[in-house]
Amino acid sequence: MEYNKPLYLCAFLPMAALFYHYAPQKRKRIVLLLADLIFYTLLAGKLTAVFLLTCLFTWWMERRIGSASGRGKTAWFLAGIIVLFGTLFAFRFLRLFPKSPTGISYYTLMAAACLIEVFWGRLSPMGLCDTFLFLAFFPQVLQGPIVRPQDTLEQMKNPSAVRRSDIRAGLLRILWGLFKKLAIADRLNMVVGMLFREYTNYHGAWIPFAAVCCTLQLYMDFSGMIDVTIGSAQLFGITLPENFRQPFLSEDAGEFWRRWHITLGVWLKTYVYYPIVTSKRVLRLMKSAKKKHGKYAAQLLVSFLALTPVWLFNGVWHGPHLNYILYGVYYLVMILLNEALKPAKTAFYRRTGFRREGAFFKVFRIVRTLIIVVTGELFFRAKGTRAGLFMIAQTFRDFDLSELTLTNLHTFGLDTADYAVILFGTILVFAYDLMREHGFDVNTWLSGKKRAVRWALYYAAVALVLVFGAYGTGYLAVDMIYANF
Amino acid sequence: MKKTRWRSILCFVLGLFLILEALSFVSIVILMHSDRTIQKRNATELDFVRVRRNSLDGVVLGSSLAYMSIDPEVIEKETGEKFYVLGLPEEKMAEAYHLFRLADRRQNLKVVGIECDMLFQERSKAQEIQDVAIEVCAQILPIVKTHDAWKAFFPHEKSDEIRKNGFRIEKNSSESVPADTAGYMEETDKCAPLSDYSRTILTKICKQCRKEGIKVILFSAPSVTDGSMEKHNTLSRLADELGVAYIDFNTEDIGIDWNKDTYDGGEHLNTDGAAKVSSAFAKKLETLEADE
Repeated sequence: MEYNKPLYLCAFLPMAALFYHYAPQKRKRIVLLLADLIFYTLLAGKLTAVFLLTCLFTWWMERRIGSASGRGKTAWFLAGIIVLFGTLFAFRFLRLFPKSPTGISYYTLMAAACLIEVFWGRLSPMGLCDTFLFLAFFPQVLQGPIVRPQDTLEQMKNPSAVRRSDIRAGLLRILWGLFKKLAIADRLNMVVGMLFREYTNYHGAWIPFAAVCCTLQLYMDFSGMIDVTIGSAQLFGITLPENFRQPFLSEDAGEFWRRWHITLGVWLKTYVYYPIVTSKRVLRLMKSAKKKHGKYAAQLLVSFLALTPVWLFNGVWHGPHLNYILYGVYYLVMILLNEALKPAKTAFYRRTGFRREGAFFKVFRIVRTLIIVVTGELFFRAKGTRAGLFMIAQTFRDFDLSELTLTNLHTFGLDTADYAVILFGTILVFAYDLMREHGFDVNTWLSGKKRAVRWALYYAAVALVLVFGAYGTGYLAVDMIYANF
Repeated sequence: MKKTRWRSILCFVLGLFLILEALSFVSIVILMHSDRTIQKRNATELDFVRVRRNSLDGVVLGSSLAYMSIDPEVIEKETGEKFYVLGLPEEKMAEAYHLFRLADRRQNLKVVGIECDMLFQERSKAQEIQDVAIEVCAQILPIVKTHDAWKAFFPHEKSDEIRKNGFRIEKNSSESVPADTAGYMEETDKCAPLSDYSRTILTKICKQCRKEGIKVILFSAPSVTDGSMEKHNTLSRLADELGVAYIDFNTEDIGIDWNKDTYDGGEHLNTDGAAKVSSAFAKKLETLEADE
């Protein structure tokens, strides 16, 4: 019962939302708790026990950490972190069990955030019910957003009456997410699946095409399903943090990661990056490096020291494959390179007199970032490191643009009509992204419009999903990509 | 205030329903005038509703094993009875039930043949619920099944498959690829597991048929890859429980030569193999009718 399945969209979600809406204020938490438990049990079956144990352990550890002091506090904290990540490691990396509990990569980070916040004294130990509500919130348990206690806990602890505007906004957001997933991502899956599975049979020109398609698919799938998640949460009056902010308008790799999978980035920044850069040892090292080699070298050194664990963690978190780790290293190199070249770039603009903010250079930087991102995604999606390297080499070895014909495109199982939907759907999504970048908010815009206009838009959204969605006969239902991480 | 809100919600839902009904109508009209490539799974139903009402004696339900092994023309030649194959690739039980209901409404049926391999499809509980829900939903809003109709306005390659009363002949249907029969129908007392979902739907079809005096024949089409003694044992018992006939063409000697009569190495039959099964089916039909 994933978020893109009719059972969730047409039965579970509306029923849970209705019960929640009509439950007395005092009972809302219980309704939510039951909905979370039913949802997780339906998805994970027996492995629900692992999840419940994690909730119980997190709650118990918070109390231990909260009540201890000095070294004891640190010992409890470290023990908690080791057990949480040890469980994740055992399931995801050592594969001691045939199946991993649903959403383990996500809820482990959230549980760790609870322990860290309590350890830092920024959060009081939560009650068992609150811990469960925080970790198990069903719209987000499958694929995030990875929230910190300060993001949602208060909303869950003190549920407010759900406003009509929230319901309207939530439903529209769900429909938009479904359009991205069903009309674009699931269609692209056929092309991407074939090209990455049988990469040795394709000429070099197909490789950049495969990379662009897989980047698009990943964005439409992940951001689409996050839209469904955020929209579902809105039906319960809960505002989840955004996970995407027009990532393809980024001007460098660092900015891309501040716009793509934002909550993972925020988690890593809060709990890995900042503790390193503000640690006494690193501050001392920076001071001495500054004295010996100057500010530029010291900053680079600190960036390297703090970003290396961040990017290794990012890579490893995605799974036990070398190409994920190398994907992390790839971004580390790109971001450090950007840092290292900053003085040279500043000098270039100063000497030439070109405006850094001029349209040409802005577009240039966006295109450059897109190339970096697409190359990274190619490596990320490839079936292993060797396959990734082979595909990149193939691009330069055997490049023949004449291979990219409509007849050849049809061999992936999609017809002209499918490609037309992908193309126009993508244009629509990017146009909306561009509007959002310039401050447009559809809900604010709609709130000032007459009922007829509002309803027309809702009807159009439903029709778009129902008519152009790649579901039912002739299409293969595609699982949510990020639910597998 | 509350009353106004409910009225507003009701109006919205009604408006949405009308729009979806209109879209459904338009999509069906487009599909009726389009070719099979666009019609996809709907083609079986769309072809069937074109058959004159009360002109058939029987229908056969099932997956590709059904529509590639039962040729209604052969049955008609041998028994004089008119049949139609309502088969879909990997037909789900919920789809089979819907097609049965459709056939029952439009035709005065005497016989319903059910190719039983679809009973053993592995579906999770959630998928089973979803299958049924989609079928029910499609009855009210066909757009969920016909939503691809707009593709008819785009250039596409047309299907060269020929259909004769539901029997499908593809380009290479007369070719043969020998099958490896090692382990095929090995003796065993074991039974293949059958889900409650398959059992319930089959029982429902049988009950309805009994009520209307329609004869039900369960059968297994010959298939090296899909046929097994486990399935045979389960189906024999099930047929006894339901009080219907069961014929397993995997165990019956009907002259299938696995070197010549299969077009894909043992899963499906070619036209020669289908002729043999159809002829055997016709003979069994006559025997069963004579027994009565």
